[in-house]
Amino acid sequence: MPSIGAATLKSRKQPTIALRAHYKVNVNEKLCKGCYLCIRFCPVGVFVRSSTIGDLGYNIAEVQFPEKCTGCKACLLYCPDFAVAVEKENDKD
Amino acid sequence: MDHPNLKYIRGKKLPHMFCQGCGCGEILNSLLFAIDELKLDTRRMVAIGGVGCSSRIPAYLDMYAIHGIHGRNLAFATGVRLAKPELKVIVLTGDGDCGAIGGNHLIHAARRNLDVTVIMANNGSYAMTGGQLAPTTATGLYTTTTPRGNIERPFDICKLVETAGGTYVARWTTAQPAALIRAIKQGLTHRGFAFIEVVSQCPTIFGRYALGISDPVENIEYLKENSITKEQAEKLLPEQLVGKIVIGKFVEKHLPTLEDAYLEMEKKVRGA
Amino acid sequence: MLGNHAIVEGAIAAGCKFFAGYPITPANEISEGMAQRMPEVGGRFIQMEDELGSIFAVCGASLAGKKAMTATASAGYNYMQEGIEYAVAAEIPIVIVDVMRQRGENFPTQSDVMQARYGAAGDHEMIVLTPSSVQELFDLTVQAFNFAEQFRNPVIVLSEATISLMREGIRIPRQEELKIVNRKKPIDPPGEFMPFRGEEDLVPRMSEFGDEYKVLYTHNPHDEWGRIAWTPKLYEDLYNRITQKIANKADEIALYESLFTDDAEILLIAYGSEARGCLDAVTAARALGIKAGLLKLKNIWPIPAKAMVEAAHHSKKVLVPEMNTGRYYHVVKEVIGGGSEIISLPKNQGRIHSPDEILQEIKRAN
Repeated sequence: MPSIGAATLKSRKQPTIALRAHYKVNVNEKLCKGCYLCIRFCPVGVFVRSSTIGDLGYNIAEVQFPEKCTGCKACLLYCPDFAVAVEKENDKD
Repeated sequence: MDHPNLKYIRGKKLPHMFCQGCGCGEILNSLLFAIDELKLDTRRMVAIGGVGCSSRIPAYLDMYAIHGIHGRNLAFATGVRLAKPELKVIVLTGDGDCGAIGGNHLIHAARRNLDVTVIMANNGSYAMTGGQLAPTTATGLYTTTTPRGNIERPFDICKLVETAGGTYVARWTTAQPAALIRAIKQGLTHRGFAFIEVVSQCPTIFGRYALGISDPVENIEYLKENSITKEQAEKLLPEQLVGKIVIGKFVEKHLPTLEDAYLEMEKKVRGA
Repeated sequence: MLGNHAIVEGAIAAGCKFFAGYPITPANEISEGMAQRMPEVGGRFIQMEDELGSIFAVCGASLAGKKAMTATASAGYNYMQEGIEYAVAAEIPIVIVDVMRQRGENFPTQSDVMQARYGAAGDHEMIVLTPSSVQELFDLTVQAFNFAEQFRNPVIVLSEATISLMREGIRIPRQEELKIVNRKKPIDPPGEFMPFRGEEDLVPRMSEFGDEYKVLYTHNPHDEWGRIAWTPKLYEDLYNRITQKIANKADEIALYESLFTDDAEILLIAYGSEARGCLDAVTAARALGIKAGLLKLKNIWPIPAKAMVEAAHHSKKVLVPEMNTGRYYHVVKEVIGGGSEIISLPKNQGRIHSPDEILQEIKRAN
């Protein structure tokens, strides 16, 4: 099955930023081991490598562009360490 | 804000012991997504792990777990399933734990169509003990016990399980987590012996020493690039298949399970 | 009834609901009997692909809440050591019948007395029962299940090719006459229940698969919550508790019969099939005026030290007839000490000492 990639998203019509849902994204520095799978598989580039050293001694990944997040949850699927969280803003759940 | 699967971790005890970028972390994650989507009752489940990195996964699951004996997972599972058939049993194992020392129990559990879901993480080596040869190590590769390159042929464990009688057999890699989650869901709901091989990256041992790639992202790229479907594989020549990983669902059959057969027999005995 | 069938009936009377085995002479009749009887009593039987599969299936079934048993012979017992070690460490109640036989052949022997106790890896205690008649095979199998449930430890019924394949009349007591012990169930709610906290008897309460306690079973060192922890002091405390829960009760566990031991000057200490000949020999010796006595051991581990020392109180000589190269003799020597002369009577020909042979030895010792 094809992985969720940038090409798939580009082919869809994007609603304007104002109408689209917004997401909060977070990397837990207590758990991140700096494997960077989130950076590789995020289709829109929410994450970047950072020079911050997390609790476990690795240069962790950091959220730099949360406004780009489309809620695809690829990062949640790929992260081996449960270090990423994604929540819809104003989510009543 | 927490990862959605955090609630399924035993005692919420994280970080886990798996290495940076380890496939086991992904398998644990995919398993938890599958359990969550199926809304399974974890009180009615038992996870069994042997020895090895992937066998440590049950220690992190918030359910009854047995851990610690190399290769005998399916023997434990047979006892549990026959004693209490209402419990769902998942076996987490590795290519050495399942295919070498546990090989005998694997083929018999498959033959009996024991109703269990086996998730075998295949990283091509005995990583926990430092990277020794495994039955799935490709010919020619370096391992600590084949320092001059592996002279043996590897196993195709999916084919082995299919021949032994497994009724759900699939192989995915950690580069396809959505497909893996779907396969685990199918395995968990399948009545009978469900076997899911997950070819996983092992950047610390197999990646670094056998493949020469120690970066986690490059390891998973390697898996992604070399994954081909059964249909694609059929069109290739044997030489072109070297190093390729054939993914997909290979078998899905519905046959009476061991537990069904036993209960059937018991009914006749007690009814008489 | 055949000895092996008495074991089957004993297990069923005790509440055994799961049996896994692998064919091996002279234990086959146990598997066959169980295959026949388990479905009749609502239990489950499976013939596994090897002894390793058998012992671990039995562990799994016991963790799922059922009383479980396996049966094998000496060579198969070798294979089961890892399962026994796991059952000790994870405190799983199981019963293993080891029908001793000579290596690859079916010669009778008593040579497993040390392996039965010490075969498994790691620090452990073992309860090993030694029946010497078909009636005792029934009684001691029931007792084995009771000990297993009481102590949460594997218990070995050390039968022999001689007794297992022998036919004798037995009396099967009515179910109401039997005392059956079951494992202690948890009383604290989940979150408070500590699965490996020993109570006053050093034995923890045991939950089972399917309830809400979600225990992790492992043989790695663990704390009282079951969490794996590699702390030196914790490891020591854990194994002190696991061994002491049985070692402290060695005299309570002791099962034996004494014949004329109050004033015996020549004491015979025997177990299993050897005890049969000793009975006649001692009676004959007494008729001749020799003050002989017999301590028949029905359990050899943990060592029934108090019973042995008391029985040897007046004895100048203690004879230990065995069907091996003289193994339990060393234990007797260590326990009774310098007060008496301990003489080993090994006979390793695949046959027990006859009463006459023993009588000769008694006369010689007199």
